[in-house]
Amino acid sequence: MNTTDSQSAPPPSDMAAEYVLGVLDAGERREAESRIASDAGFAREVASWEARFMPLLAQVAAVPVPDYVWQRICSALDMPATRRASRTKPGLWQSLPFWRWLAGGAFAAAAACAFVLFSAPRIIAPPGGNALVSTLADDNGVPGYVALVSADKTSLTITPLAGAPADGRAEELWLIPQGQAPLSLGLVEPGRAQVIRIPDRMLADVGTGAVFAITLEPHEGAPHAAPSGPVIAKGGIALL
Amino acid sequence: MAEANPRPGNGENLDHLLLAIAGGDNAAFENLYRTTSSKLFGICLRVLPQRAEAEEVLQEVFMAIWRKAEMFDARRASAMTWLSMMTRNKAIDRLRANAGGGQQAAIELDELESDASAVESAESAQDRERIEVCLDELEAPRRKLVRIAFYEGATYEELAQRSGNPLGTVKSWIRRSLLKLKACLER
Repeated sequence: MNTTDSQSAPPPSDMAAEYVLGVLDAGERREAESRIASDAGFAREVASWEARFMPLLAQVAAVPVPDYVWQRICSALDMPATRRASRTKPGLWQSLPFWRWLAGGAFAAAAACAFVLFSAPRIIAPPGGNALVSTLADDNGVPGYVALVSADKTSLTITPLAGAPADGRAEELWLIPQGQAPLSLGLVEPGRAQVIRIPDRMLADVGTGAVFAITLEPHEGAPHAAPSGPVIAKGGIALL
Repeated sequence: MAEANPRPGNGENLDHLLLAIAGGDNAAFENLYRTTSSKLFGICLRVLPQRAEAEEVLQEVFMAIWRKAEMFDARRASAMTWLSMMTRNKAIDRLRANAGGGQQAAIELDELESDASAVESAESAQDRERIEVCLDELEAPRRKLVRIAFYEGATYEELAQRSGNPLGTVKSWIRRSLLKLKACLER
């Protein structure tokens, strides 16, 4: 390294370059921004430094964005949130924060929804023993399905609260044991309550640490080995 | 997922989307989000290691896109450059607002470059971007400092602290590096 550098005074500041490189402090950045707004020559210099450095940003790896970010943007802009953005977003199932969020946040909501549901007049006969219940809601907390696991955990009754997905894909139910990959419980038919048998190998995984989720999947080949479509509802499992 | 996403590098398509967004087109906005959000989120995360903060900045970015898309000028910058730099600037502003929230790791300037950059160097010269070729002309420790400054949005003070060098020295190195880069890029 050239040691004279450290002894001589630093060369004069090139504010456009330093702004783009990102080394300016907050006050200097404000100063640079007001120059961009008022000085066309300076703005051009900034733009050319940005173009020079852009290839470095192009190398940054893309990271899947959790669904709720799009929902927040839509609600902040007072725009109806559609599911299209989330439907095409890859990699959600590979996202660790998503799993943490799924296992944590969804649980309280499910318990609360379940309370409301079952403290209503008893049209549903209370199941005996340690029955487990889950309310599967979308990202806005709107319940989409209610699942009730039998006390012996060999079956569950799932009730879709809305109609079939608009795009013709099937709804697939997944059991997600804590910290593990999703296990398919098969397709859920829209519009009616139905009993789904829980395979013996999954019995040990059905408990309050686990989560149910519904994804949109192709009809063919179900139950699938792993989800490929977006999560449209999920809910933690609570003791009834 | 099997659905073909337009590649973020597909500039003309992004130009059209931004134009449509400036006209208040919701579907174009959603399409742009779908096309670019994961890339822009990656940029946020380079500057802001805290995921929640990176998510908030990404939200700010898209709200700004919705409101300021008409400010995009295709003659001045490519759409992806405009989006990426806006994202990076918002991330750096957030970083400055909560001092100490950025990367803290010590910078070892004597350490050898990682294998990844060795692989990059092995690529044929014509495939490499000009900025990479010019960065390679810098002495290794300064190249490392410039890269960290750019990717992490670290101030002179932070770079001095993290690399254990006097502030004046770090300023000298970076400013001389920028002069050399400029000369090389304009060759």
